Amino acid sequence: MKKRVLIVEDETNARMAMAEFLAMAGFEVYSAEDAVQALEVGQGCRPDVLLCDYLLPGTMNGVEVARRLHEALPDLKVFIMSGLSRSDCDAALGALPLSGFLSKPLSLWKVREHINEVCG
Amino acid sequence: MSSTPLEPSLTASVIALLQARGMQDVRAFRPETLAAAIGKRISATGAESQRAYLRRLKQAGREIDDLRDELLKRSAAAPPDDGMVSADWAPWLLVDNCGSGIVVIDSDSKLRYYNSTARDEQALDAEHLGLSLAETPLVARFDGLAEDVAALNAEPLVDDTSPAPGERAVSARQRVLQTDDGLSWLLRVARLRAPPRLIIVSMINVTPPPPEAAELGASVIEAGDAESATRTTQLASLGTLAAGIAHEINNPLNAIMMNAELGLVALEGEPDAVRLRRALDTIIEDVKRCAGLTASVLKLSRKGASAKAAGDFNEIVRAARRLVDAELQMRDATIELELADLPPLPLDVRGMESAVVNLLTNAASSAERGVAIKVESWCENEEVVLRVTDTGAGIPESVLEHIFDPFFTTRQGDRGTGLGLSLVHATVTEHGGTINVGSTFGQGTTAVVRLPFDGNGDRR
Repeated sequence: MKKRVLIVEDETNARMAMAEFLAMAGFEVYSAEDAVQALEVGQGCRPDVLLCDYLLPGTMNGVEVARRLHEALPDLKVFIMSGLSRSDCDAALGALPLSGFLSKPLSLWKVREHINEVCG
Repeated sequence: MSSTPLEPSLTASVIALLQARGMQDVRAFRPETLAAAIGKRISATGAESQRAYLRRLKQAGREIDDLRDELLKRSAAAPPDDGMVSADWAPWLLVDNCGSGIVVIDSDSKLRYYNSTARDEQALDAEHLGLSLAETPLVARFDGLAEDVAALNAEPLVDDTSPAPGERAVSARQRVLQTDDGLSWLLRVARLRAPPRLIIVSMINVTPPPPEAAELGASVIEAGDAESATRTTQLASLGTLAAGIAHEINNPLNAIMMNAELGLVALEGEPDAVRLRRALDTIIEDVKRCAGLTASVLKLSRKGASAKAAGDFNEIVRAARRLVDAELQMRDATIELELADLPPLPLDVRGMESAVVNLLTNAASSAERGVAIKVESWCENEEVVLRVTDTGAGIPESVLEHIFDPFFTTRQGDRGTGLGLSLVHATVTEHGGTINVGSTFGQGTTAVVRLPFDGNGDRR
């Protein structure tokens, strides 16, 4: 069965490239462009992997989105993506169970590698 | 000369200066050391802003004034009969051994005295004694000296040795100028308006120090700390701004990178699309270069302490030396390590290694080829000191002021980001340490890093 990946990214150009690539790589891909949409789509599609941007438009950041989805889906593998460095986000990441912190700019092949690793 | 005792009657600032240099007993203090201290204080100001520099020159001038006042007070006790000043007159031994050049001109504008520093630095000799000022080499050497003397001579006299309240017995003028041999001087002309009505000219060499002199005296380190605190604050706010920009750049870079890669994927199985593939590869290469830049900026602005573990600083130096090996060979540079035993320090090994690599790379590239680099470490006052000296081209003073500024670079093309020394500064500060860079243009550069044994605190 295809693994389901949810991409949460407000930059359309990056989101679409990622979605297209991961679909070609054999994943079932869903995407959202803000926190509210991410929670909606996430609860509907029940993804195995979440790729979530750290800074999202609106009051809720990517970490909060990931936390809520992880509460609902305890097996969810969470990747946070950001243009900031890991150390700048450390405090906010807190106790979120994280499969990886991905620093932008990202290589699509690297992303696929990370997902394959956690999906076994 | 044996040490001439001096009563603790100098001004508070001079005494403070002495105490800062660890000379608690002012009576045991030798005048040439004072002069050297003042001279160093002036000459160590190379990297400061123009305004701070002038303030220091004025301060140094006041200190010289105070010393001169003291001498005047002493001379009043036993004025020579003929108004001549002879070198065997005890208080003048102080002046003779002073580190600044001093000459005395009498009321007829005749050169009556020069001290040993003036003799050596201004090429004076006994033949010049008794000549009028205009006949000595000094007037040609120092622009404005004759005018200063004339202006001071035009000032009214004071009748006795006790001037009225608020009136100084000494009038002085000063200027900073450069002589034809490229040296910078603080020229002070002071006239005693009361008897013995002499004109005293002091010539203090304020040319920025060679690398050895950048190994600073206590008073200078103090100044360095204040300066470094200001610089750290400026860098911190610049860093925050830069981090915001870096983040904003990383997001579109991400989209560019991913779409270029997607393009490559789309070209798979298209053997004819060589040019297109090469274009996309180039885009990806350059995105990676930009990413390196934004990563450096983010590192620069990093708040909070990085993880540190007790480690051997010399190991970091050796590792850094291995990492720059290829660069050294390429540039035909030589490197010599002289590392003393050091206690373990709390170190962010990766950060510190890249800082030392930066210093070594800068040293290696300080001239086109054949630079000799010396790297020394030792312990001093509960601090580990690292000194990197090179025999490269040196850094002009105007550039030295900016070397820690982010994005400041003198390298052409894609050879430098202008972040290297900013990052070194950030790393050293993050270890509670300080960095000072001294340079003589044309002769070489010395960087001195000091790391406290308990370097966890952020000295901001």
